[in-house]
Amino acid sequence: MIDLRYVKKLIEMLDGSSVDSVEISTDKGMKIRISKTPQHRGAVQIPTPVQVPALMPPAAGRLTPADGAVVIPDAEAPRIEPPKSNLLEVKSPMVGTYYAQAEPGSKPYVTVGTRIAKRQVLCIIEAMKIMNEIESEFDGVVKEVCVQDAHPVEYGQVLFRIDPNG
Amino acid sequence: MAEASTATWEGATALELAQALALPCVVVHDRVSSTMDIANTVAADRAPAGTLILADAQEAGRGRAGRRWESRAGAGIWMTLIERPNDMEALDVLSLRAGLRAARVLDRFAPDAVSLKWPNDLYLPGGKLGGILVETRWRGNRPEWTAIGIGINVRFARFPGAAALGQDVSRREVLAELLPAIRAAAAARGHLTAAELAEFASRDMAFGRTCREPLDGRVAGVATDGALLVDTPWGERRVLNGSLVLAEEGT
Repeated sequence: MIDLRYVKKLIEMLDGSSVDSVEISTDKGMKIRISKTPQHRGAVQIPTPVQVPALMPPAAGRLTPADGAVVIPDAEAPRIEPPKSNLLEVKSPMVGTYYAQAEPGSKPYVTVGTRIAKRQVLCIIEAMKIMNEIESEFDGVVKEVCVQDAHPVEYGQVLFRIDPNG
Repeated sequence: MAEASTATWEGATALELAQALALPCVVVHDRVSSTMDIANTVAADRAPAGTLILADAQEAGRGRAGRRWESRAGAGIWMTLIERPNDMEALDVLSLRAGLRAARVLDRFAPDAVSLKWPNDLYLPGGKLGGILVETRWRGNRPEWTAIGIGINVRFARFPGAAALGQDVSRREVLAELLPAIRAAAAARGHLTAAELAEFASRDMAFGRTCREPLDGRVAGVATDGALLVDTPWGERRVLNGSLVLAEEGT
C-alpha cells in the first residue's frame, strides 16, 4: 500500500524544483510517476480539467496533488482491452468511481463465479453526486471483474465479462 | 393509483395523499428499512414517474456512502420520489437542483434561512436539517429511473448536530409544498443556470471556508455542471465526487 504522506511529500518537493517528473518503482511492484506536465500515459487518462479525487480511492481524500500527479498501481490500473471470445461485456455508461458494494463494509453485489440474472444490479458508479446502479442486460456467470472497488472508471470501460453459457 | 394498504401518514391514506398531491401513485408505510429500497422495488415493477414512497419511520434510512440517517416516527418527512429522466445534463445536477428547490420551500417553515452544503445537505444555523440522496438505475447506456430520496427533520431531531423546522410545523403542509418543488427540479433541463448558481452561492454555507476533504483548500463555490470548486495552492480544482468536510468539522 502506498503511503499517501510520502506521495504528498514527493509532490511538494517536485513542485518547488526545476525537475519535471519523477518515477519510482518499489520491489513490491508498485510504481509511482509524478509529472508537472499533464500526460496521458499508461491506462489512466486524466480529463481536463483534472478531476483529482476521481483519480484516487476515497482513502486518498486529504491528498493535495499538483498538476499532472498520477498514482499508477501496476496491478490495479484499469485497462481497456479488446473483447474476449464468447464473453459478453458490461461497460460503464459514464465517468465516475466504481463501487463493488452498496456501502462500505457490505457484501459485493457480484464476484467472479456469481450467477447473475438479467436486471440484476452488478455495481454502483458514483458520478456527479449520484449513485448509479448498473444492471446486467443478460443472464450468465461473472467470469471477470475488471475494476477494483473505489477506483475511477472511464466511459465505455469494461466493468465485467459475463459468460452467457456459464 | 395508490397501493392498497392500511397504513396512514398524518392521518391520510395513500389514496388521499395521491389525490391531494396530484401524484399518479403513492405508497405509504408505517415503518420500512428505507424508502429507497421500496422505491427501487416498485420502480422495477414499472411504477410511473411521480410515484411517491412515504414512511412514518425508517429503520435503516441512508445517506451518501451508506451513512445512516436517523428517521424516527412522527419526526420528519422520509420519502423517495421516482422519476424517469431523459436529460443527462439535468441528471448531473439533480441533487443540487433538488436541494435548491427544497431550501426555497423550507425557508417558509424554518425559523432561519436554510443553507446548503455541497453536494446534498440542508442546514439551519443549529445543525443539519435534511439531506438528499439520488440513485439512478441504468440499463445499458440509458437511465431507467431515478429515486430522489429526501429526509427532512420537521418536528424534532434528537441527535447531535441536527436541527428541525419546529415542533408545531405540520408535516403534511411541508410535504404539500415540497413535492411540486422536487418534481419541478426533476423536470428542469440542462445544467445549473446563472440564476441557480447565484442562489446556491447565497445559500452556500461552505463558501470561503477551509476544507479538508475532498481536497485541502478553500471552498470557491459550485460550477454550472455541479462540480465543487476548491482553491488550492496549485490553483482552482473541480471535484465531482466525494464529501465536503470543512476544517472545523470532525468528520
